[in-house]
Amino acid sequence: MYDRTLPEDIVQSAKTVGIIVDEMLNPESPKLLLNYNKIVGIKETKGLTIEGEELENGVMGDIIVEDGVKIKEPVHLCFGVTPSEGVQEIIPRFIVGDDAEVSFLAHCSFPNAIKFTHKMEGEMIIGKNSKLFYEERHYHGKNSGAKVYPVFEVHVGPKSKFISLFSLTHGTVGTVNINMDIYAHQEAKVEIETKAYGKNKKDRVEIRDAVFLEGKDSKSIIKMRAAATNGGVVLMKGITEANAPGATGHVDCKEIVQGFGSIVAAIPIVRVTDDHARVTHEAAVGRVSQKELDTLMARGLTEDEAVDMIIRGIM
Amino acid sequence: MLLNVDNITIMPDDSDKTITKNVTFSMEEEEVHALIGPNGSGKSSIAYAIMGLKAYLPAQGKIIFKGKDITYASITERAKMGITLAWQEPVRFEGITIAEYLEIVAKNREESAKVLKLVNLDANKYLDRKCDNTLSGGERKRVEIAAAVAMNPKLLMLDEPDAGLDIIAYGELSSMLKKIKEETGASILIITHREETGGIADYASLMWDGQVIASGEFKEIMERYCLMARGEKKCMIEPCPKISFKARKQSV
Ligand SMILES: Nc1ncnc2c1ncn2[C@@H]1O[C@H](COP(=O)(O)OP(=O)(O)O)[C@@H](O)[C@H]1O
Ligand SMILES: [Mg+2]
Repeated sequence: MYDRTLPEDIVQSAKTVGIIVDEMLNPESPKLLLNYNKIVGIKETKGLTIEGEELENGVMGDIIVEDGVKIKEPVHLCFGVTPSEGVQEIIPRFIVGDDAEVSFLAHCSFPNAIKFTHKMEGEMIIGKNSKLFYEERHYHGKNSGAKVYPVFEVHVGPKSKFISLFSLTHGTVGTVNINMDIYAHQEAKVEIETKAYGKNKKDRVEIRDAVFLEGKDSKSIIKMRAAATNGGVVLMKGITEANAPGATGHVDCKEIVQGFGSIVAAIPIVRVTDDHARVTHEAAVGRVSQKELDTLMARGLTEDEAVDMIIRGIM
Repeated sequence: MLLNVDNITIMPDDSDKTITKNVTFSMEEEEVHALIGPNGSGKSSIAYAIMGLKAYLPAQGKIIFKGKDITYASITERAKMGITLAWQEPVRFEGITIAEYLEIVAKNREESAKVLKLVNLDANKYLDRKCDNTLSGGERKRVEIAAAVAMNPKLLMLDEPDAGLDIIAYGELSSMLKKIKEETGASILIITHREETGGIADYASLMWDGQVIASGEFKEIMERYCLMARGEKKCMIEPCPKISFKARKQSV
């Protein structure tokens, strides 16, 4: 039932979220592409090892970047499922050695989800003086029928940098619950940007991004953008805990809400246990004004399309 | 007949405040019509009623566009029929580029570049800039006119098109409007309190204190406007100075 090609629906949804599909499918570009529990595309490059094991409901895999290896092109990851029902479990481990650099562009697509669950249990271990950039874009179809539960634990080694971008702003959401714990070692830098947009009352997002600044002079920035319309619920917590001298963090949260019954909260939570550490935060509420809506409708957009365009702009 | 505004009275948001009373005027296809009158006389409110803004839906009267009663049609429906408005004070859009804003209606970058040229903005410089408060008032105003023109509208309403444009731009405005007219073939409703701005109009309606008190050929109406303003013809040549129109009303 699941063949070893990437289904057309998934390729299309990759386009929807702005992924350059030709680049993803190019046989030369490094990648790990999954269709449910089948590995349908795998390409390693020098210093990059990708190993996967197919499980009953998903795939377990190791992605390893060796010491001193800097991979220029993004490594494409695609976790796609086309059936409307079922469960997919992905257990990836990312290991980046010392003095290495890599960026991942992950695309999680469940275009037909009606009663579908995706679980991810990810681990990232970054060595010394390295850089890992991880971007994940989701597409959950039009039915709000996906339940998505990713959990990540990330260790950012001394003088290394971890950047994470997560966005769920196209299509519906369904139920999403994300938990990310990031531990920053000495002089490590962490930058997290998380955006989610719930568009109807079946959309419910809860995201908890937590950074623990454990090493001396470690730094972090968390940026969260939560939007809800037409009864959607989006709850975000940006947690930063500073436990070492010289550690500094910042949490920047913005909420945008529109329409009856919509709920958003993007809350910075800050704990400082060291006298020589500092964490700052800001929170703002973005609004969609009637005049903005009127302006876009006077160009022929419907009210929903206008709200969508304005919210995406603010995010 | 393209547009027939028939006896409309506007009481915004169901307040008991009447801001325009029994307004009637009409426009033919390809006509350039100036809606002239002092600040606060109700010109923008009339444009909002024609565009279909909820707060300004008429409490009484009808708006007929191309033979169809659109008095209670939605903004989107009207836009799809070819009605649009370039606002007096356009809003800023955080995070939306000028290209994205124009491409709501323009087919592609090339077409967006074309409409920017009509309003004398260099596409290379502007397309990728944000349509937010990094633009000056004049730049934002030009983008707004370009976005309205990009729709290829049947009825283009320009609310105070010179507001926010700098002095050098004044001379530019009438040639800009002429070009827009040639390119789109649209009927244009120019809303203004200045004579120079209405200059390319064939016809005009004069608004005074919430009412259209006269409609006719632009020149005649302009004469009337100036007489009402000063009781003399001098301001036909010079811009009308700011004086209290209301106070003079009795003497006309
Ligand atoms: N939504 C509103 N609620 C109450 N009064 C309004 C509203 N909109 C406009 N007005 C008032 O109606 C009058 C006409 O306004 P407007 O149509 O903007 O005039 P103009 O464009 O000719 O300067 C003004 O006195 C203005 O304050
Ligand atoms: Mg006005």
